[in-house]
Amino acid sequence: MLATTAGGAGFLLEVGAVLLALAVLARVAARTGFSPIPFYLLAGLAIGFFAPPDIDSGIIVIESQIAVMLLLFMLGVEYTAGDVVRSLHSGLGTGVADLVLNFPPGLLVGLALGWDALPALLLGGVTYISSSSIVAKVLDDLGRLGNSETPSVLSVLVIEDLVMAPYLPLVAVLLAGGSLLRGLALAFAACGLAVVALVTAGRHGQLLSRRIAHPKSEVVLLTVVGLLMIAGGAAELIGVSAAVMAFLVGLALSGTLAHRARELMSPLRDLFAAIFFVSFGLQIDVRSIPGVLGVAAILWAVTSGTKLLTGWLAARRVSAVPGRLRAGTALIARGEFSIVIAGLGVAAGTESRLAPLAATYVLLTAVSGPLLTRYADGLGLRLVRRRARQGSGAEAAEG
Amino acid sequence: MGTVNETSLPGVGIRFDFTTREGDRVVVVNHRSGRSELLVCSKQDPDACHEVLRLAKEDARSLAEILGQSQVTEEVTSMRLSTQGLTIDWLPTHAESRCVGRSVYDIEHLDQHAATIVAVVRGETTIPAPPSVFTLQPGDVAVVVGTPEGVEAMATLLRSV
Repeated sequence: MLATTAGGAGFLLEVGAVLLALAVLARVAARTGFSPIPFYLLAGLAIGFFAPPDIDSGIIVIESQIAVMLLLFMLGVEYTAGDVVRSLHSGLGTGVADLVLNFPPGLLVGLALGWDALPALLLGGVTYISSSSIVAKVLDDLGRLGNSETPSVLSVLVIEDLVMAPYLPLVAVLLAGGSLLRGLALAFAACGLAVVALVTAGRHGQLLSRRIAHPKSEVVLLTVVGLLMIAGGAAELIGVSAAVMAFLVGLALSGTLAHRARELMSPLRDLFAAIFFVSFGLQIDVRSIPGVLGVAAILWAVTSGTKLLTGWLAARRVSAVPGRLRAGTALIARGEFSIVIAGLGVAAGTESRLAPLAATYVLLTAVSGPLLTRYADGLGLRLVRRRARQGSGAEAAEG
Repeated sequence: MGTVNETSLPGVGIRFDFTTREGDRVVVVNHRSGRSELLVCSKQDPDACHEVLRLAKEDARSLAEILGQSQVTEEVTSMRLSTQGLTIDWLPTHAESRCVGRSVYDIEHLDQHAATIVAVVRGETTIPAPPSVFTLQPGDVAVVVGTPEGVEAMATLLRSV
């Protein structure tokens, strides 16, 4: 094998080959209507098993950092301040139920496996957060954006993403060996920053947009990426995670600037995120997966049930039973953020079973979630028909 | 106009919905990207809807213009006033009407029962009591006074090809 020093021929050849393989997988994903995330993970696992590349781990750390920042930044850009405020206003109760239902399964399973509290806390995060990207894509693909339960489903996602603001700094501090008190203080600080970001977007969004706006794409791109990096770095200095800061910067951008940033940076996000998912898979020893398969299956069954219940509760005011089933099943898919959270644990070298368990769990939910919610469409229809028949039967009996 | 409900779809755009007079529930999803979807809710499951049209930004604009236009003509026809057996109406001249290029005198004699043209609105200007040799152009709005039947007869003339 060629020597793989950064910038060398071997490095370029390897990265190029991986990217081409990912392109093929993304094509397959697009054709079959699945999210590419599980495909990327599998690719990482396969490459790690058959041809483990000898890439400097420093590169992976930097790549992962940028990928996570871009993922969260783009998520922040997707939401306007209004979206966040309305979601909190209308869906806070459901958001609390979501946390209470879906965080403990991961936490308790981690503790039951005899893990330390910290990796168990990470596993709780893994089972808690649904994949915004998979859910949004499934809703669009299945033509459900107009359905009456859809706003509630999206509100659940917004609140979950907001919960990341205090959660990520908290676990980052604990992983770095800080005290719980310091972690909580920083989590609180991150919440404060979130409020600042939302107020900035609401009050001064237009001003910021005008300052940064420029007809040349590269000016906007460099300004936004530069600001993002500076803000992330400043956040790391005070101990709040750069990823959370990226999310908040995304939230603070609004109007035409947000639109422009979304256009310019989504290709960048796609590239870095794809490599990030693969490199997460790469770091997992495939031989460790059979050992965690049973636990992953249990977690999958339990948390599919709890997410179903979450969606049911979220849609209970606006939808009948079929809509609630659709909402619940739509939320089952876990994806990018579960991997981001597990990735934190891997980087810090905690529990060795966390990564294979999280990867298996994400594979199970990311594939089964969209399938189940497609099935819920048919199930809902059958329920409606049966009810209609019973209704007409009852009328006939009365008559 | 009926009530239109507006709901935000975080990360996607805005969803509008209303119920038509026929009882159909119509949903419009406006994506931030500019694309929009027109959907109709299922009768069996009112929470679910199926897509009828997927519109790009310019398609949506064309559709809005067409639907908006019929509303404008409706508003013009609804300007008709009737009091004590006398009707006044503002009637637009159709571009291909046989009245185009004819004088007011000629038009009034095309149909014995047609009402009288008392004024013509041309663009921004109004010509009150036009002389009998005054000729109509496409788009002119004729202000017509007469019996309800006479006004209807004149409306037919100004529309007819």
